[in-house]
Order: sequence, then structure tokens, then C-alpha cells
Amino acid sequence: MDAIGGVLCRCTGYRKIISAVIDAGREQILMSSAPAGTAVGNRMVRLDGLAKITGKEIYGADEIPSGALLLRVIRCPFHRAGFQFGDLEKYAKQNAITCVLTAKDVPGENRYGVIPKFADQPVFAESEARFKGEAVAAVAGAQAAVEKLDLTQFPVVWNELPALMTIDQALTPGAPQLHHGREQNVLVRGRVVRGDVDAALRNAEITAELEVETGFVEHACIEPEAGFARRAGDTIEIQACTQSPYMDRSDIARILGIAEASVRIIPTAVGGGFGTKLDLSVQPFLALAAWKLNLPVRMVYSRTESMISTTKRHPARMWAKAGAGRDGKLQALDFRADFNTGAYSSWGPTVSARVPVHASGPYFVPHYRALTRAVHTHLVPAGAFRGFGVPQMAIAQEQLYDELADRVGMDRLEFRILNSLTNDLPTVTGQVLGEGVGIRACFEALRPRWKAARKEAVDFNSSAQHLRRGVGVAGMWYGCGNTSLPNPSTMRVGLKSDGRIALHQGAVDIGQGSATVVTQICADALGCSIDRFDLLSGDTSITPDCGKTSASRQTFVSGKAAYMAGEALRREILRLVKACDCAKISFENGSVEVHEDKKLHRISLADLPIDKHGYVLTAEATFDPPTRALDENGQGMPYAVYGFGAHLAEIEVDTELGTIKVLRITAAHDVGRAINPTLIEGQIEGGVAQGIGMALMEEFFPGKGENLHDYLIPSAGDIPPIESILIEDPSSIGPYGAKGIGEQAVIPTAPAILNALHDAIGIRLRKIPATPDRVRAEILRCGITGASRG
Amino acid sequence: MKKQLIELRVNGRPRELAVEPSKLLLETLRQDLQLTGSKRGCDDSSCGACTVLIDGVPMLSCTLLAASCEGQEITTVEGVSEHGALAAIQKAYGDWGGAQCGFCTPGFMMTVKHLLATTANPSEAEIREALSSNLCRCTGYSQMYQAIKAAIEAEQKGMDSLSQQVAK
Repeated sequence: MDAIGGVLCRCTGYRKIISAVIDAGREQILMSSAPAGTAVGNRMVRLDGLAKITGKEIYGADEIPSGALLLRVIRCPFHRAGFQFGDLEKYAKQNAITCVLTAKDVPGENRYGVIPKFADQPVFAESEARFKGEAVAAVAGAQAAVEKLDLTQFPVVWNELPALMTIDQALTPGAPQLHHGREQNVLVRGRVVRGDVDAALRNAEITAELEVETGFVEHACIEPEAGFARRAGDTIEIQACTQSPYMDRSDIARILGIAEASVRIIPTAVGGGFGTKLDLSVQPFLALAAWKLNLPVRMVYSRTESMISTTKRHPARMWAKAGAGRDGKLQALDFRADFNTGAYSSWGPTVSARVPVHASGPYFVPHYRALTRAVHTHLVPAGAFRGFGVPQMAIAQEQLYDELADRVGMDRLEFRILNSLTNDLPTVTGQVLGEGVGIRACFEALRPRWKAARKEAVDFNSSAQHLRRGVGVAGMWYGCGNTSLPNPSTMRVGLKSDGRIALHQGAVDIGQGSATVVTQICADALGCSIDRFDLLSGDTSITPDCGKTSASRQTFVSGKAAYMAGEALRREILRLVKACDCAKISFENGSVEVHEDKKLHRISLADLPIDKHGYVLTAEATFDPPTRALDENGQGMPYAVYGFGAHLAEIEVDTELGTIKVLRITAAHDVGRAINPTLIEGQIEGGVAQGIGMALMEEFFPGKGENLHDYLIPSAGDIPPIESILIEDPSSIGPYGAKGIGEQAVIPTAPAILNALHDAIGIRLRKIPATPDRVRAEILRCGITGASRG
Repeated sequence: MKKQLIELRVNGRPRELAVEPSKLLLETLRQDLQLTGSKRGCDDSSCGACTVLIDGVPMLSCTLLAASCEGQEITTVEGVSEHGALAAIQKAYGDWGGAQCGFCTPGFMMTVKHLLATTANPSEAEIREALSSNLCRCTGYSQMYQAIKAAIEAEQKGMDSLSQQVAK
């Protein structure tokens, strides 16, 4: 491909252009400041870096108001149990505890959930706990008293009950029902159907079929959940690590039975989120205690507490069958998945809705059926984890397409290129994107390394004994933002009388760099150097709602709102001096100059009145990406924009030990417009690391190994060199053409590795992750020896 | 439990404290000295977020009793900056994406500071081995290599080179 090895263009967006691979072979230049209009596209140093490298950043556990009480939670030690409390007053008195809280102490509704329609999780269980780790009570008091408590002595009598541990048990007729109205424990079903899949599969010349299961995956943010709450008159203030301050505010208001305006959420820096900090954790306990006692209360989860009680990636049980013609053209895909959604709804409905939209992968599939179910069990709730089910789904679909390519007799990469979705072909929901479908360019960017790596593996294997090398590829697409639901962000930007710019941006930066990216976008839209910006972030009392940090929406949605707000402020300035759109604005200390033809307007900012926001000029803008509801067959426009990508994995298998070493990952991503290439590469590399974990080592078993000693995540020694290739095929809806990257980055890694495993030794596992025991067992079952495959 | 009076030397300053004999160094740093840069991530010596230097050697402050550190030089992330200016490794981590969420960063700072103090020109394998004692969930570690390379170059050529790497 001609684009490789050079830069074809650095597009400005709003034009239909060909894809460009940026930065190939070019020296990387970091920038700590940029002249007006040049921030976008440059490797700007992240704006919040200084606090992080000096240890001054404030996370959930780092700030404690003086006199704060300590709070601890009593949790159910069984997967399912009824319970009765003993004498709580006596216990409190004997142990010098300020108060004990149970469900009876919830003044509003003892119920919350990220999707209001499905909200079903109690702050404290009432009479029956539905998973091991569910809260039943809390104690608050002076640190010395609470810290030394042995909570196993808390006066509660447990009555262990038979628990539903698997999807099959939960679906069995007559099984106990976790929630009223959810027959057979099915929380929700998802469905996308297009064409006639049965006929197409019957008539297909080549078919392939595959079944695969994945397990719970723990987010393993290095920061355990933490925070504090205090009451200020009729307002409750909660300072905690969170990805979704505005959703927290709604839920806390409901729990306390007060108005949302009486709840202030102050997000701290977030020490890793990846989806799990979208749901409430410490907040409701803290809010209840502080509200009741009128004293500040703090709480920090232990690692084990975090692992047993917060959401996980959904275990998936998937079956799929696909058909193609002898020419290699995909004709049909039939896909079914059941997700173990655990005891409460959390993001189960979102996973069930998103996966059927994506199960085709980034390819044109004319006949299609994808059916999903989220099934309740007595296990820890599964929720949002980077990709909302799509990473699991890709493990099935991308392995299946490899099988199909092999049966057709085509090169696996060329099969994907042949079937790549284009601007003009409809997706499985009938949406014709019309622009910005960069998947083919991603695959083509991998072609040189694919060819070289395949040859190197064959050469290596020709003389190797128990070590076998393999190369695998996988593609990905991922819709940015909510699925067919409103998803707005609002940004406010103010011009201060000293000539500096205040950006009220409520998009919580959980480490991915959105605060920097959003500011780069706003600065260029306004035409002002990024150095002049002062950021106000997250606090619900000072920033408008920017939605939640999820679904790869912050660059796209909040970034677009920042673009619009920046442009609006620019227009306000021009309007003040009645200058035309083409005028140039320069910002000085205390003044703004507008240059128009030969005229110069100088605005002395001190002379302007201060508005209600405290600025001389304020602009606010809201962006809500255009989507359309899906009909009963899942046809419609679920997302305004998709991100695309493909990964190439090179691995080495030790057939005697069953271990897999990843040698190299090459990752090509169409990001529309790389607002900040360094931050995007950081997202890709981090996504790849999590993908490696998911493929090879990470599986959480509720009730076992509830710590980071037993639950392994990749360390530096597990991560190979990662080469990122950024492709810019812009989408005119996003700011400067940009799309999301956060979740896109994790999706193709695991299937690429699993395809490489098959390439190396010819096995496909029914259960992922591909831990050494599973790989070795399959090697023995298949009778594979090092020298038996050429 | 009765508190005892101890004297710790933290970031070059003597600090006299009354602590329980069972108090961990990490909690003493965070609660008594308000040095919250060192983090508690795992409770079982898995993550390395609490790493500090004891007489220049990286140790997990969540596994040390504060009282056992008397007479030793304790360095935390707050003491990495030199003469009020950022240390090369700090600046490089901030610039090159070594920190994303940043929660593990203070621990990595200490690990890498020790590596650079004891190994003049660490090979990639030596860097990897050093980094393997700390966990990061965000970065995939890759940009840390870039940061460390930049910091080594800066230490060899002086901080000017680090500033030049970042265009003003």
C-alpha cells in the first residue's frame, strides 16, 4: 500500500479523503505548548502530567477531611444467603462504633443501577443476599475503633441457600428467579436480523462453525475504590473516584430521597477505570452515613473487597456459524451468545444490545442473525469493561472467519480485505456509513508485516522442536457512544478579564488523556494557544454534564462539544466588534485583538461586564451524536461513527509446557483524525496489554483468588514490542474528523493471538483464556508433537 | 496498642513520630506525614504502587513496619525532585506517556530511579526486569521504555537535552 512509509495527507476533516498513515518513520516531536491553531494533530504533552509524576495528584483515598469517620461494609460470605441481624445497638455500644447502617437506614429508594429502567441493586440487601460480596450492613466510627473490628464477628446469622452459578443452571425451568418479572432469569435479549440467514447458510458453498466460552475478567484498576462524603446543610458532597459523576448524582439523590440539586459529586483523579468505575461503589455507603450523622465519613476498599463486589467483564458462551462462496465472499453469519450477567443488571442490557450490532465484525455480511441474552446468576454483577461484550464476541467471530478462510483456501488477511466493509455497503443494521470506513486500510497496512512474519514463522518452525511460532490477524469495529440512545455532552468556555480561557469540561479523564484532547480541540476551534487555557473538570457544581467516560465517546462526543463551544466563543468575540468570520483573533493579557483586512479592533477586557458565570464572554455548546432507534430486527442507525482497527500477533508456543509468548503486536487503527498521536498510541498499547491478559492469563473465579497475587495481569515482562499504525479516514461528524480509540484498542488483540495459536499448532480452545494447562491439555488431546506440523 | 516514639529520615528530613509498633510504613507516610504519593493498591505485595527507596533500595512500604525503618534513609516520590526541579525520570515519564491514570507512577518512579542509579546503560532486558516489579493496568508499559531512554539521555547530556526533546 502506497500510504505505508510516507504521509499522504494530514486531513483537516469535513472532506472525504483517502486514508493516511501518519508518522511512519518520522521522528516523534513532543510539544508542551503550541501556537494558536496548531494543537490538533500534535503530540502535546498531557496537561495533567505534572501532578501525576510528582505524587501530588489526588485520588480517592488521598484527601481526608479532618475528623472523618471510617466506614466499613459487612458483606455476604456466601454466593446466596438469607440473613438475620442480631442486636446491632449492643454491638455498636460494645465496640464504640458511631453507627451501624442497614437497609432500614436508606431514606429514599434502596435501589440503584446505571440504567434507570433496570435499576435493581440495593445499597444493602434486604433479607437475602444474591452474591458473595454483597453488602448487608456498614459500620462507621472513629478510625481506631473501626479499623480493629473483626467483621466476621458482626451480629448476623447467615442461612446459605443453593446458588445459581452457571448460565445453564439459571436457565433451567424451575430454577429460583433472582428478580421478579425476569422469567428464567433472562434480564434482556438482543437481536439483529438481516436477510435470510437460514437459506443463505443452506446454500453456502463453504461453511464453518465454532463454539467458545470466556470467563469473568477483573478490571484490576491499580486504585481500589475510595472516597469521602460530607453533609453541607441540605447538600451531600461526595468526593470519590468515578467515571460518571452525573449518573452518580442521580442515583445518590434517589437513594437519599433528595433532589439532584442537593447532591454534589466531586470526582477525584481516577486510578484506572476501564468501565468498572461507571457503577457506584463506595458512594452510597458514604452518602448514607454522612447524611445521617452530619459528619464527614471516608472509606477505602481493600483489594479483595474491590474484587468481590465491583463489576467484571461478562463471561460469554458463544456459538457461531458462517458461510461463504468459493470466491471467498462472506454470505451469512448466524451468531448466538449468552452472557452471565451476575446478580444485578448493571450494564447487562448494554452488552446484550451492543454485541448483536457488532457480531459481523467490520465486514459486509448480507445475511445475518445475532441473538443474545443476559442471564442472571448468583455471582458478582458483570458490567462495563472496555468494549461492552465486543471483545468476547470478536474472539468467536474472528476465529470463525479464520476457519472459513482456510476452508475457502484463501490467505486469512486477504479474505478479510476482500470482505471489508466499505463506505457504500450497508452494515448488519442497514446503515450505510458513507464515509470514514477505514477498515480496509487497516488490513492493508498490516500486509507487509503479515507477509514477512508468516515467512519468518515458517522458517523458524522448519528447524524448531518443541517451540512453534504462529501469526494471527483479527479485525475490529466499534460504534462510538451509546447504542441508539441520547448521549449528549455540554461544554462551557469562558473568556476571563485577564485574557485567559476557562474550559469547564466535565469529561472525566481516567488516564486516557481526554482532558488534554478536549482542550486541544477547543483551543484550535477558538483560535487560541492551548497555553491560555485553565481547566475546570468534573465537579457537578461547576461543570455542565459531559456524560460518562465510556463507550469511546469522550474525544468524539465531548470533543465535538468542545469544538462547538470554542467556535461559539470565537463568534461571540467577532460579534462584539462586528467583524466578519474571516477575521483573525489574537489573545493578549487583558485584551483581545481582532484583525480584519486592514482594520484592527482592540477589545479591552477589563471594560466588559462580568456575566453570571464570572466571565466577560461565555459560550456553551451541546453535542448529541445523531442516531436512530433500532426496529424489532435491529435495523436502524445505532451509532453516528465507528472506529476500525486490526491487529497482527506473532507468538511462540512451547508445546511441552503449553505456554505462549507473544513476540510482537502490530496494531493498525483508523482513528479518523489523530488529535494527539502520543495519547492514542498509549491507548493502543494499553489495550493490547489488556487483550494479552484476556487471551492468555486473566480469569476471575468468584469465591477464589480474590487478590492480585492469584489473579494475574500482564507485567512488563509479558508485553512484547507493539507497533502502532495510525490511519486517518475522517468522519465529518466528529471533531476534526476524530473517532474513539479507548475500546477499539483492546478488541482485536485476543482473537489475533488465538488465531496465531491455531496457526502455530492447529488448535482452537473451547475455553478462553488460553492458560498453559488448557493449551497443554489440548495439545495432548490432539496428539500434537513439536515436529508433527510443518 | 501503645504508641512509641520513633525518628524517621524521610526525603532528607528527620521526622519524629509517635506510632503504634504494628503500623506499616505506607500508612505512616500517608496518614502521619501526609505524603500520599505512595499508594496502596493490593494489600499483598503484588502491585508495587507503594514502592519507596530504603537506603536507595526499592522496597514495598506496605510490608515494612515504620518502626523498623529507623536510622534508614527513606525516599518517596515527593523526594525525587532534585533541588526543586523535576528529576529527569519524572519529566520523561510525564512527557512520553509513561503515566496514564498515574496511580502506579510514584511506585515506578522509585523503581526506575534505582535502576538508573545502579545501572549506567541498562539494556532493554534490564529495563524490562526492573519494570516487572510494578504493575500498570493502563499503559502496556511501552511508553515507559521511551521515557526511560529519554531520561538516560538527559542524565548523560544534562537536562537541556530533555527540554529540547519537547518543543516549546
